[in-house]
Amino acid sequence: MKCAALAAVPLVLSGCTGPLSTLSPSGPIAQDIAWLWWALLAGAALLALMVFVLVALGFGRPREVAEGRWVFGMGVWFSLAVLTLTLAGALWIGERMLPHGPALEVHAHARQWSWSFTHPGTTGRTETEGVLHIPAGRPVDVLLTSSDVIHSFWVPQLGGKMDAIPGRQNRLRIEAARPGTYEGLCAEFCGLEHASMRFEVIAHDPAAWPPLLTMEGSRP
Amino acid sequence: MRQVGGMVWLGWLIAGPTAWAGAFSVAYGLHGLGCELGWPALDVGPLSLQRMAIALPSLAAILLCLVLLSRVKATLGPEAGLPRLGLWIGLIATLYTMAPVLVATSC
Ligand SMILES: [Cu+2]
Repeated sequence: MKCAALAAVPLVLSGCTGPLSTLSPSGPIAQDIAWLWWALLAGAALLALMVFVLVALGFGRPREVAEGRWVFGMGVWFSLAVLTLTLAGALWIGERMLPHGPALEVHAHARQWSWSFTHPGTTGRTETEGVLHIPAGRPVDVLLTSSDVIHSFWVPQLGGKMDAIPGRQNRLRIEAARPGTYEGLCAEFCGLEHASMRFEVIAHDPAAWPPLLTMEGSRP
Repeated sequence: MRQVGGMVWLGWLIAGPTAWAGAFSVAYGLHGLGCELGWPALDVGPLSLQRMAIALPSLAAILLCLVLLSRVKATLGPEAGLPRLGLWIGLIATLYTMAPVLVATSC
């Protein structure tokens, strides 16, 4: 039983890498989010450790305990300190992720169940299906709209996620540090084909920007 | 154990957390409204109307907790212990949850 549980650990951890993992960031914004994830994990681990130690102590010989120290010292102040630190970190990172300052603007339009994108190309603005083209190494603001229900734009390796809501336009900043192909998906359940509502983001070398795009995009 | 009208005591007990919950709900509503109406751009003294609209209900909740704290001993006598703790929890929770409003980007 123990062996089986141990053997399962690498299997479970292998879910932490790959193109849809927040923990293998490929840009500064996603990197911030990954840091925050690790900070939250460390905080949660500290609190869990405290609880485990208390449970372990409970199995020992009955003894006098300094109730005030445990209830207020650990139960209140220690927990509050961990929460405050992680909250401050989240606020700080949240501010850094906001679309302040200039950025290239591209449009993403969602519908059941696909994405289309509009961006600057060599022949003016070009529309593609299922593939978003961006330059690497600089911030890009994705302007999100939807024509039917609420969808959500998420490229885990490049940034946070943002809803695409019918009747309004939302703005999400993403950035790729290096050229490459990154995977994105709809992160808000939107109907039967929600799971297949995927797309790709191709980050181009800044020297080759804007790329030669055709109407068809290049999704296989 | 002395009985101080069960329901009245219960009211005192939940007064603090209720004040926090009330302030939080009002601030939540005003926050969405303010983002839609462009309140962050309107200055009211040192703060934007947006921050003011969120801070004022919190200030009211904090004042309410302080007033009740000053009276809890006189009203409940020996049964004041837990309600006093509840009021402190309401006061600190309000401070804690509303403080970021003064620094973070709102909309
Ligand atoms: Cu969708």
